[in-house]
Amino acid sequence: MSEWLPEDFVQRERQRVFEPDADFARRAVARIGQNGSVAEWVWDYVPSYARPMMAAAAMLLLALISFQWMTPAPFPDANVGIVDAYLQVDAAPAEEWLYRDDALPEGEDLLIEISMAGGLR
Amino acid sequence: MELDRELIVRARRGEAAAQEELVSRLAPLVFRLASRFYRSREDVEDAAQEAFSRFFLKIEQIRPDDNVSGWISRVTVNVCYDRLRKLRRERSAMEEFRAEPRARPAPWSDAYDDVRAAVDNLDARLRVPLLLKEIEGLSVKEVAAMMGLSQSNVKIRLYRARKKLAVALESRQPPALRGDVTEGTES
Repeated sequence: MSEWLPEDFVQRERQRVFEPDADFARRAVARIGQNGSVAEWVWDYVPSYARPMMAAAAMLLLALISFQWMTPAPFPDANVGIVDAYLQVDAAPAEEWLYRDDALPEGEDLLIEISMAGGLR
Repeated sequence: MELDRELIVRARRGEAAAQEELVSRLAPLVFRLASRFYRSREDVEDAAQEAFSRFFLKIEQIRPDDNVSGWISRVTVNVCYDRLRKLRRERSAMEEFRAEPRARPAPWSDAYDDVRAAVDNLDARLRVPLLLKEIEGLSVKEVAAMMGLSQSNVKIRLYRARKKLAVALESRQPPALRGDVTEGTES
């Protein structure tokens, strides 16, 4: 018994119960068969408040990847996409070479090669 | 509610007949709980459908010895809670664009309608624990377990719900009856 809600209200509310119809179980199981995909299971673990932000981040990432992959670089001999090309605008040729070459020499040879490549900024 | 271990195992394996049997046995409990929060059969049935969808998505986590009724009760309450909050956000957004002022209920109408309207007007965060405690007759500990909250959090929500409800009812009663609603003590 409620200590502070009117007793009449409590009793009427307790009696106000809907019962499932005879076909409910069949309909519920049919819907489970339609909805039980892996994608829904993954989203189920993401809190509802974080979903819009995650969806926006995923869309942005996808758009950047598509843009990078599908758009040719602004200069013909570059083996990079337009996003990389944009980010590399400020790098000197020697810097690019320094970061990209996987067989760099050591010591004095390295300094020589850097100066040959045009030097660092 | 006693549920056959074999039934749970078969339902986990994805046997439609076992799933249907499980839904049939659990549906009265789910409908009763959902009826606390909605006034139309359609809303109750939608909530029940969603509760069973979520339940079967997580059925792999349920062991045959687990309290399946407790599981489905928690899922149902959480589904209703999420849906009520979503509905309230949608209503708030709609009301921003409403041209004419919102219709007010007739003053001092039937006492049941008054209390019901005041309860329906509460935020879902307060309304759900309130109805589980006062109408379903659950203890604070049971409400906390069902909603995934601490007991002190549930007590705070109940206290706030009572305060808001008392204020709402006070303003809707004729002056002669004001002061009838008193604050109860926590059990």
